[in-house]
Amino acid sequence: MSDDTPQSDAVAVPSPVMDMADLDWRLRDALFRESTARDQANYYIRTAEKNTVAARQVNQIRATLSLLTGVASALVALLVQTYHPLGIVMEGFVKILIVLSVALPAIAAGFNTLADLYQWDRTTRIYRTARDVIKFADSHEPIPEEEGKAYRDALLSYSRSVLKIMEDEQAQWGLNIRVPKHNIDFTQEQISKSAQAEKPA
Amino acid sequence: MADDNQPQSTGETNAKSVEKSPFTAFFSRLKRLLVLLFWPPRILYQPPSLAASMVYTLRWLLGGVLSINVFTRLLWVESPGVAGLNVFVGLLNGAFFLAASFLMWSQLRLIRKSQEIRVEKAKDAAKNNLKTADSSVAQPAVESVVQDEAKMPQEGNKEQTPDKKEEPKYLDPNPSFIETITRWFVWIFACMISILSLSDLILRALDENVDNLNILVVTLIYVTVIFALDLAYQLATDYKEVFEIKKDAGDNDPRTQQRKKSNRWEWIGQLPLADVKDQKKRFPIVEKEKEEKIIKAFEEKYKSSPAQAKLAIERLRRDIGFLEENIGDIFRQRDYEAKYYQTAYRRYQIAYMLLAALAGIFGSLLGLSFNQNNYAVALFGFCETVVALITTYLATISGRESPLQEWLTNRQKAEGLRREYQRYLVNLEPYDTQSPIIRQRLLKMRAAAINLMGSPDIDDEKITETLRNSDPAEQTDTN
Repeated sequence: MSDDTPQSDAVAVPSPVMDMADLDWRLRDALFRESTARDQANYYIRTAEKNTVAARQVNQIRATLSLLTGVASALVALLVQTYHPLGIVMEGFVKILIVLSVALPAIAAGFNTLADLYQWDRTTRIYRTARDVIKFADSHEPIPEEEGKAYRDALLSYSRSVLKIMEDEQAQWGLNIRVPKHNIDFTQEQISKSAQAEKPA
Repeated sequence: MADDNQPQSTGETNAKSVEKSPFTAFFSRLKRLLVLLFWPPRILYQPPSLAASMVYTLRWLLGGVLSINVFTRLLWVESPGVAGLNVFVGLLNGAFFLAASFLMWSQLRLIRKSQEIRVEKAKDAAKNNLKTADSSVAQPAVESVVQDEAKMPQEGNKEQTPDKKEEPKYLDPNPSFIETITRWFVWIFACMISILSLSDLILRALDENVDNLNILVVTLIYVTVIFALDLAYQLATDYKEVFEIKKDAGDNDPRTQQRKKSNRWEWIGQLPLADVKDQKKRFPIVEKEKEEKIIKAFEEKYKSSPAQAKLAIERLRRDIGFLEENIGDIFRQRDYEAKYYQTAYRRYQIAYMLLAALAGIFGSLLGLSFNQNNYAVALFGFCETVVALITTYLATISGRESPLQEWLTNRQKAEGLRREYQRYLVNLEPYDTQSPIIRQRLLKMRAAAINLMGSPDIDDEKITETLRNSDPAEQTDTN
């Protein structure tokens, strides 16, 4: 990571780390725990919770729209077969049901793409794993009774683990973000349609 | 109207602040009237801008036109088959406008009340200033305010509470249950009317009734205005308050309230509705309050060795100061850009999603209209073409730079900088065995490398490659 840094100069000068007192490490440990490890763990918990809620809500909407589509279609079939001829109000009602049975699936498809765009389920899994791994890393954290080198080594090991988890989580998150396939296909299709529309008649 | 809340140190300032030209006064009243009449039900307790008020005016006017059109058709019924539906739509429209009138009335009352309060405050301030400033200047100011107040319409005066000093109710982030219900009632009615009217008209179009073309167009515009411009208003960053009660709004920022409630509709809360604000206000990577709290607790814990504790705190503060100076700004910039491109990316994708839904609906309606109604076939075919053209337009403008790539790159850099900050603070390698000067030099170099390439590894070849990749001419040559 730091191969190209001027390491050779460091040999000639005294190391400040070695000069650091026990209290320096303890203060930095407190700050690191509070502002990084705990903050990050809270962020994972909060985001996982939010994403779970969002995924559940969108899933409910999708299911509701599918249900309504089915009900609308079934009602149309029932009403058309039951009423001969359809009355004034019933005719209007049937027509509204027809429009709904056309529009609702399209809206449901939109929610599918939304879930695909946000990847709530996948990111929840990533954040939950990261949260658990951070909890595991907590087992490396320095014990207040430790002193001197033991305390310092424990802090360095602990902070190294937490920063590594953050790095891994971010890499996984990055891999997770993709343009929804439906949107790619749709855009390609529409571009070719508009190219046809632009051709002189 | 802008002057009511400005600090008034002397009577002279106060007199200037209350004086208004006739034009300013007229536009001020007009603005207030527009907001008053066309208050958006979705945006609770947030006075909209003039542009947004105009949008809502248009919305209501179109609603009126639609209503008149439906009733006119009802009076000259051309086909008994649709009369029942017309009656239903007409009744709903009537209910909607009644509810809207109630809303207007309630808003009028609230705004009158807040106006009273501000006038009272201005009068108090002017009276106080009389004691310290020239009374010949300040007295007309008081009179002017009182006259201004007297000219206001008197509706709703009976409803005012005796305590005029309380906060204006329409800025209250916790509206009463009745009020909230009323607003949502109106909004749901508006949506219902729109959907019913649109369904009615599409079906009429399918019945090959060409006479309905005008009303179909009106309804389409109406629905578009309600949904698209309402959304556009949500996206708008211009939240200028026409009532200039920013100071009163203060910490009770309604947007903050919305965030707190976001768990109820979490997925809506995550939609990229708001613009990303440029981070002009410097926020530290580690919260200052948290830092101070930890330091205080540390001091308390080690008060038996105050000199050592003080030294440790001093060293930490010096490090944090150095980090803020060298990483803070680039971190904030990267963080801002990541958020900006994230919003842009999601907006484009959601736009494609909406267009795909529209294309699906138009395609299905087109399929239903075949062999039934030539006019409807032509109309839905045209709509499909428009959707395709808009999609192509969006794809072209979003293709100039890839928001997704920019988002990921900037986020990677911002997080890399955040980690480097912590690495330096806890003296992790490579900072663990260096002299203070080399340690600082190392941080600068590594931060610059992360900012450039996303990784702290400094490599001349990589820098050259990065620069080459960022040059469009080079890219073209390579391609």
